[in-house]
Amino acid sequence: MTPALELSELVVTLDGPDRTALRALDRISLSVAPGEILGLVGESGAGKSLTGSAVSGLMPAAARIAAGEIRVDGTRIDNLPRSALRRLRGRRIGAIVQDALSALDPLYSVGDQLAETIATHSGARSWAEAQARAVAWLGAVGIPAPEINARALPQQLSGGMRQRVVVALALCAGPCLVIADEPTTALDPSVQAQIIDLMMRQARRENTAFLLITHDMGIVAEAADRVAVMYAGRIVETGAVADVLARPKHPYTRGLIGSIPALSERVARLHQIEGSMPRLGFPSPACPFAPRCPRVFGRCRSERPELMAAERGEVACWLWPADADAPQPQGATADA
Amino acid sequence: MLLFVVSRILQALPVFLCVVLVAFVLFAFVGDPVLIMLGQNYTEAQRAATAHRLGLDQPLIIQYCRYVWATLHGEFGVSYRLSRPVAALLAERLPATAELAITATLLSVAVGVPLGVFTAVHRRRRVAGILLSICLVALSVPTFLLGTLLILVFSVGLHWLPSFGRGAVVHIGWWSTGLLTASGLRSLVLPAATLGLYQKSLITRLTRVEMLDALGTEHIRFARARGLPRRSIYVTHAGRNALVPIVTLAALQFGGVLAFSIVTESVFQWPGLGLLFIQSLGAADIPVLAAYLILTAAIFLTLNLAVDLSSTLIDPRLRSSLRGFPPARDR
Repeated sequence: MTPALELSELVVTLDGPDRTALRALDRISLSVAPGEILGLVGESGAGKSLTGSAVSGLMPAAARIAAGEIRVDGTRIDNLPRSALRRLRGRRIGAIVQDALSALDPLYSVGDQLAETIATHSGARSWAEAQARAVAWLGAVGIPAPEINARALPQQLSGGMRQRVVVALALCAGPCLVIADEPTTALDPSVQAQIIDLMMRQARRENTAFLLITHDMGIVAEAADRVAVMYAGRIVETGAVADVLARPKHPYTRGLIGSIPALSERVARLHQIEGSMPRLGFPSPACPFAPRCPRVFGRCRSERPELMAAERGEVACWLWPADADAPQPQGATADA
Repeated sequence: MLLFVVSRILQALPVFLCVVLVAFVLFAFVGDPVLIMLGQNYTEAQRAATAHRLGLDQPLIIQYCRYVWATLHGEFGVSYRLSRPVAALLAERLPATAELAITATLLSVAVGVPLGVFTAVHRRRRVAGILLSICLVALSVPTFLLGTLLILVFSVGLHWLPSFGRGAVVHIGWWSTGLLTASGLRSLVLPAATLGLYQKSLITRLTRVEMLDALGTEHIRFARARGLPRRSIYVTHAGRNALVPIVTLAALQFGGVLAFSIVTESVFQWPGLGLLFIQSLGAADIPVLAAYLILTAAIFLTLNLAVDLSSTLIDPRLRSSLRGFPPARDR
């Protein structure tokens, strides 16, 4: 089956001062199958959002694709002219953003914005028909009294309602892939669960693929089928969510999972990963996580590990394969 | 909406009365109309009789009230210089100035707004930089110099266009229009260009800044992500978001050229209000100057009301009636 999204060896650089190019994404390879939800996790600045915007073609002006390929539903899109890309946006690639209030135009009712998007992509015969379909979509994403709320301006709706509108805007043209960049971060937990549920139902029912970008391992555990962990512009671990959560291979992944406090136990101090990510533009031959890694050893500081198959996933760490000249990993629970 | 209009008019009323007060003070304390009317030789009895006939022996507050009353009825007294009713003078001059101001403002908006949008959308292209530099030059050239240069080139040099006056006019009721005759239209070109160039440049620069602001917002980014066509992004979304300050500037500019196109009207000897004003100023023609002051205030108050109304049409957030919309809640 053709993957809905396939990145191969994608390199994105940022224009630095004095015509230097900083490598912000370093040979990212991943794929998302139709109907699959891939969680892309990592700290702020790891390159998650940049990966998403490279696919939707909305990267910041200073960023450019230096190498690699992006394929959506089998079609290569990274070398398309802007006009062709514009036709794909919204129609084949939907986008859900974090801040629904600033993402909606404050001057038009949510019904009008939805109707405009529907009319643009699916050739509604008349504005009235587009309006009617917009109301139907508002109902489909769980907005009560859609005929009335369609006339509301974005700022007249609650945060959860607005996010539902954003979801409807992303889905209304029937895309095969949706880039969801921190879709629930601004919402309270009960509304978070509803939005997650909405995306999961869409994935199952319409076979829509989701690239779910988040810093929250809890969201990934709840919604995603597979997970890719990013660190400093690279993917350091991938695998099925159940495998990665139960038995994280990379010390960074382990740290991320350890950062979620368990409800059953009270701890004096929340777990944290010491230090911060290396800054861009200081390439070093070492593993970028080495300075913060609790299990660092000699080889980590002289040679950078590549992503390679390990059990049922992939990991970029010298602790794998397990027969390497390193201390054996201690299992899933103990660390830090 | 009606409530909104009424409240705005009530707010404007004190301002208007203040301006009328200033005009009245001009009348009451600058020069003595009795002496002007009686000339060189008169007796004290004649002076008292004239003052009584004009109501000038009554308390100031009574005089002010009578002045307001007369103003509201469109009576502004008689011009000292021309010995004609001021209201008739203004009505005679208003069409010339109004046609000039409307033409100049329409031209400046029709050219300035698209140029502003263009320079914002193509901000990295060299053409945009050149256009902006031209605007900056146009903003720095004084009106009298620009007018004189245009006359020199197009009237004296090329003989294409007349250098002064309004050309032939057609009377429709009390309104005289130069828009219906060829010579009237030809006469309009140079003064309108002189007035419009400055306005156009101002509007271009404001439009550019507002558009850049609007284009940088998150909702425009999201509109692109939804694949909306460029036209919709630039006009429907960014354009409408940028529009309120542009309308405000254009309206105030329009008021400005309607009331104060004195230099341009002098350069082109345009028979409008500005020319009347400068001539009356020279002759210390107080009734005309006072009436002109009141007319100017009325123009700007009306324009402000129009701007407020159009702003609420453009930006629904300004509509107080919408605050009652039932806010939706999560289930």
